Amino acid sequence: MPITGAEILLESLKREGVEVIFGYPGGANIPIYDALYNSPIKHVLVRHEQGAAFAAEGYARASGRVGVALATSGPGATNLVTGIADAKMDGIPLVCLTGQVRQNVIGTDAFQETDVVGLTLPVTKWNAMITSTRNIPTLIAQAFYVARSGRPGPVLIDIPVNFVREKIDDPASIHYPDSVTVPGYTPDKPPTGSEARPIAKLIEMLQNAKRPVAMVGGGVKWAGAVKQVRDLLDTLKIPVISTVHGLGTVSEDRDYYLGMVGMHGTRQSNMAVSHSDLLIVFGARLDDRVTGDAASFARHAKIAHFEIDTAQLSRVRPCDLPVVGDLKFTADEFHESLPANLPDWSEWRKETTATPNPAEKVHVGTGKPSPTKMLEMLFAMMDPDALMTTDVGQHQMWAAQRASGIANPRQHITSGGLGAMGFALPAAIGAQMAYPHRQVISVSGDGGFQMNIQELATIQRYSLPIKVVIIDNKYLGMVRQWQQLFWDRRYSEVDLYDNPDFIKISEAYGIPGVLMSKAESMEAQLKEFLAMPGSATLVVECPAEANVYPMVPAGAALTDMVWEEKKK
Amino acid sequence: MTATAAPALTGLTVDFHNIPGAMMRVLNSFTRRGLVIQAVHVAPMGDHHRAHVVVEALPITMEQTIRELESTVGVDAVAPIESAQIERLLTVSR
Repeated sequence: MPITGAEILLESLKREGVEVIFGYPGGANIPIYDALYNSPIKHVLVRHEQGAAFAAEGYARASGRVGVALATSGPGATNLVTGIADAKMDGIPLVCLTGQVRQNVIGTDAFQETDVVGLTLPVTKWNAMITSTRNIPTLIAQAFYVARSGRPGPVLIDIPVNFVREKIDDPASIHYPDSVTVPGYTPDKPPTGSEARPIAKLIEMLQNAKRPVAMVGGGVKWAGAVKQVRDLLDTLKIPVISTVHGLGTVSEDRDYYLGMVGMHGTRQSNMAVSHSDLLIVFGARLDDRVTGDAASFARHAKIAHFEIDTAQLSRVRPCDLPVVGDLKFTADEFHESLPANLPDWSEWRKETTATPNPAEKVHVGTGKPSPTKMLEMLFAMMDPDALMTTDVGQHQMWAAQRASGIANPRQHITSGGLGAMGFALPAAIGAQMAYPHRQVISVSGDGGFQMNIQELATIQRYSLPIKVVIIDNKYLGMVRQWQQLFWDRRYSEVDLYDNPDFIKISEAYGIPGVLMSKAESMEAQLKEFLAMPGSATLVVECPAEANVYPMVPAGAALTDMVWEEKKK
Repeated sequence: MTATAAPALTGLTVDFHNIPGAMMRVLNSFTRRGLVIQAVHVAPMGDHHRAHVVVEALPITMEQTIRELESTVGVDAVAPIESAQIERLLTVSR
């Protein structure tokens, strides 16, 4: 019996372990949807292709597996782009499949034709167009290999519709490779001219260090090296700081753990890295939100950088010692090579915690719920293995500042590098699909929530018990905060006073809502909300001008933290 | 690495495996940094292709570009072009 290209495609996906696809049908991918009709692969119908990309990301971020998104040609494909760019920035393994017009009309500006390979070149780790039905299995295997190896990332495969329609008379002649290579791809190739024995050099640097600091990033979890790095840090006992994506790697009960670093990091973290003389980075990019002013970032320190992707080295600050490779092995090698007589850094550790982090000013007096208190309660009340997705903005940073207590870094899912509003809700769908029996909580602001609000329909369709929290201050809060602090309170186009009634909207999608508008009822309402069966929406009406502190102004040194608005 | 040097005429030789889009991916490493490509020459070299790309850029930008290209899927090798060759590349199509 003949086999179609679409069936070959699905068989290839099955062999890669794909269990779920997030997608949306259209003209150029109908043959794939026709094959899905009888496929064991589950398809989740989102309500916008951006939702598909973010949901696939949420699935990947929660589970560590490759997320798969499927869209049609033209607008379907272009709608995926934000999610693809997001995955590129944060190093998320994604395979996006896009329908394309027939090969013989490509280049004629045919209906729903877009050069999606050209469009996504800068935001994919790799992309390619299928040019032969028989080559589908190899190309799909290569896509998954590239997406999940090295520093993970998004891969896009564009599929002209004629190839998935084509029938191959002899299915046995189709070759599904067990393993593949990609010419010119060596995931952990050391940079030209790098140190031949970096670990020996690092130990020499460590023994000479008086004020060493370790930084953990998202690369630790993606390398599957959380245990290795935790064990190593327990031996080193040097001050440890974390990026947003590293939160949960180190338990906050460790006395050497100082919390999140960067623009909204803790005082202790920012001061420790600023005064360090050796910074050991484990799987972090050192982007501008982490470093602040690059010239003054860790200015007295030499930097040793454990990284699998050479492109991440010395981007904003020169790296003195790259340790390129799979962190699971390099961290172990470092640990095993440590001498018994390590220097005593206990005085330095005490120094880093001698000055407590300033207490937060809670917004009292308005009678409205404090967003930070609410989030503290939420972290305290949620299941120990709950997965929390956040959007982008103030609530994201408030949540990150309180997320260090999570047991596993995969529990905190956020759009860190790209900072894409609208991420949380669809990402929660993906996370819930990965772990149907775990509690999943989506936290958004009122701005971001409306960017993918349509995915409430997806939650309802599949009866996903996602708890949706909206921190509603009727502002684009983070932009408003910047305008308040650095632009003389000229609030330009950030006022969302005319937000719709989120409870009614949620109920219209069949999801019950709870309105939290009074500070005194916070705890009781949160309990009630979390105990509700199935999905529910909680709208938290917050004070309009609550700010995220501390804050390092963009481009300033990490030591220049702002704690309040300057009085004029 | 220094960020204070003036932009200078410089270039890279990039060995890459040529599939549709591969050349654009190589060139994008330059253009995404706002660099104007002054000259580009590409030709097959056995089982891969070799591109010579000439731009005006700061040394720090070129170091970043080299690292990015070294980690780009499909790229085998990256090396700076010597100045005499840069001159030749700039005049090759005149």
